Amino acid sequence: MLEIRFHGRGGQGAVTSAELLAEAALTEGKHAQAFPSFGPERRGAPVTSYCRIDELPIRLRTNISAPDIVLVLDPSLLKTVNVTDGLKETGTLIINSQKGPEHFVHNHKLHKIATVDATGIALQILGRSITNTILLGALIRTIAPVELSSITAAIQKRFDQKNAALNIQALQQAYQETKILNMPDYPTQENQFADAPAATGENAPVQPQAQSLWIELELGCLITNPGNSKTYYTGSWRSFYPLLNKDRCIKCGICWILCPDAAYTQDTEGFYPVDLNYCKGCGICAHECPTGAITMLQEKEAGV
Amino acid sequence: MPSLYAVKTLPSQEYFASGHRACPGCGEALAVRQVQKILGRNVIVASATGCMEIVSSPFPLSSWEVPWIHVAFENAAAVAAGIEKGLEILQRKGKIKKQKITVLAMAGDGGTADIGLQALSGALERRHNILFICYDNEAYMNTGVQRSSSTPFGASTTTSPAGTHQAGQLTPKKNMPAIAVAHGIPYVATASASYPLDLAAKVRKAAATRGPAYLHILSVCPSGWGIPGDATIKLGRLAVQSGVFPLYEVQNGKYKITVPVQELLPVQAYFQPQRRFRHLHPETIEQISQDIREKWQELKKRSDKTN
Repeated sequence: MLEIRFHGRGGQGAVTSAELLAEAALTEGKHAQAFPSFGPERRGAPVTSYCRIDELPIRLRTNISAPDIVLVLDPSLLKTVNVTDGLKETGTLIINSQKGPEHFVHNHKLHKIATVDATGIALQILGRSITNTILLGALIRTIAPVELSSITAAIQKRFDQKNAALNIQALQQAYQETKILNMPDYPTQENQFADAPAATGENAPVQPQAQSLWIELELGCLITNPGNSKTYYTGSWRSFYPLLNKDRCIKCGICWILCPDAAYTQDTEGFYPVDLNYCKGCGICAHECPTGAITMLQEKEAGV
Repeated sequence: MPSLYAVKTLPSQEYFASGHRACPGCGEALAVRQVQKILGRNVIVASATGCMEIVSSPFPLSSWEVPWIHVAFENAAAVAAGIEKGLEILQRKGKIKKQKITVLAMAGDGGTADIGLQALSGALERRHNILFICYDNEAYMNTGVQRSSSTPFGASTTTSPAGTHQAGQLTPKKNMPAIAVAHGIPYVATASASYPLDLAAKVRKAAATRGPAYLHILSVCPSGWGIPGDATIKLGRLAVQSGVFPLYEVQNGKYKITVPVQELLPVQAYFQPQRRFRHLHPETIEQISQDIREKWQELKKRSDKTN
C-alpha cells in the first residue's frame, strides 16, 4: 500500500489533489481513498490531506502517520510544520520550491527528494498561486504511483474545459521541470550545505511549541486568560506580506482600522507598523491605503 | 474619502485580540473588532455558534478580552436576556456595584434569521435592555457555504447551486431589520465595516438605548462570496453604493438614511467581482436591479417623511 500525505494551506487545493490522485488510481482499477484532516482552520491555515493507493481493498480508515510520500504545496510551510514527521526511510519528499532538492537534504534518510517551482508555474499559467495539480506532475515524474494519462483524465473529469486545459498544461510543465535527487547516490559529507530547517529574521514567525499535554481545566472549561489567542501566531498563514513606504505614508490610520487581525498599532512617531506575527497577508491595507504607501510582496521561502 | 484621518478618533484599545483564526480578509472578524472597540470593557457577550465562535475560541485559546459566553445556535438572545435580568437583580440587591454594563448578543445570519429568530423575537418583545448584533455574511459560511434565509436572490451556494435547473437561490433575502422594526423597538440600524465611523456612531447609539436595540452588519465573506481577500472593504462599499445594502437607522420608528447615495451604482458593479453571482443572466440582473431601486425609493420616501 502506498500512503501519501499532502501539506498545504486552506484554499490551495490539498484536498483536491488527494482526490484527483485517488480518482486516477480508481480509473486504473486500483483501490484508493482520499480524505482531509478536519480542524477549525480557515483559508491560509496549514492543512493536511491524505491519499492511499493499493491493489487490494483498503480497510484502514485512519490519518496517515507514516507516509511513503510527502508533498509540500507551499514552501513557507517548512517554517512552521514538521513535514517529514513519520516519513519512512524509503520515502520520498516532494517540495514546491525554487531551490534544488539538495537544499532540503538535512539529515533525512530518504529514498528521493524532488523539487519544482510550482508557485512560479502556477502564477505563469493559472495566474493564481494554486499549486495542487502542479505538484501532482512532480509526483508522477518522481515516483509514478499512477500514469500521467490517468491524472489528466481525472482533471478533465473534475474541471471545466478551460480550467482543465490550463491545469494539464501546468502539470506537464511541472513534469518536465521537476528536479530529482536520488539519496543513495548523494554523498553524505555534502549535507553541510543544507539549510537550517527554520528560517530566522523578521519575516519568519515561528509557531510556539504546543504546551504540555497535561493541563488542568477550569470548572466548566472556562478560559481565564483573556485574549490568550495572541500566543497563536497567524502570521505563518501568510504568502504575501505588506511593506510600508514611510515617505508616502500620511499616518491616516486607514490600515489600522480596516485590519481584521489588529496587526497594525501606532508607534510613537505616528506611523502604523505591521506586526508580522499576526498579519495573514490579506492585502486589505495595501488595497485601501489612500496614498498607495503599502505594497504586498511575496513571502520568501525558508532560508532564502 | 471623507473619513480620512477621522478614523484616528476611534479608540485604540483592542478587545478582540489578534491570533483568531478567521480567513485572511474576513469582513466579519473586522466588524467584530470595530464593534468591540466602541463597546469597551463593560460588556458581556453571548455569542451564538457560527464562524466567530469557531475562529475566536479554539480551546484553550480565546480572542476575547471581555466576558464572553458561547451558547447554542438558537438562544443567543435568550441567554443575553437572562444575563440582563440577572445583572439588574444583582445590582438592585446590592450584590454588585451599580454601573452601566452593555449586554451584547451576537450571531450570524443563520443564528439570527433562521435558527435564533424565535428567541430573538421573544427578547425584543419582552423589551430586554440588550443589544443584538447580526453579522450577516449571507449563508452558513462556517460549515461550507450552505444557503440561509438571508442569502440574496440568485446567489449560488452549495445547497442552492447554480446549474441547468436553477440559477442559485430562488427566494429573496429575508429583511431582518424590517422584522426588528416591526417589534416596535427603540433602535434598529444597518451598518458595514467598510464605513467604520458610521458603524461606530450606530454602536454608540445602540448601546446607549434603553430597551432592545438591533444592529444588522453586512459582513463580506471572501471565501463564501468568491472574492480575493483584499477586496473585502471594496465589496462592502459597493454593496452600499449600489443600494444592495443601504445604511440606515430607525430610531423610535423614524427612518434615516445615514450614508446617503446621490446616484446608485449599477448593481453589476457589485455582482461582477463575486463568484456566487457569476452565472446570472443580464435579464435576471436587470430584474434584481429594478427590485433594488424600488426598495431604495421606498426607503428614501420613509426617510424623507421623517426629516
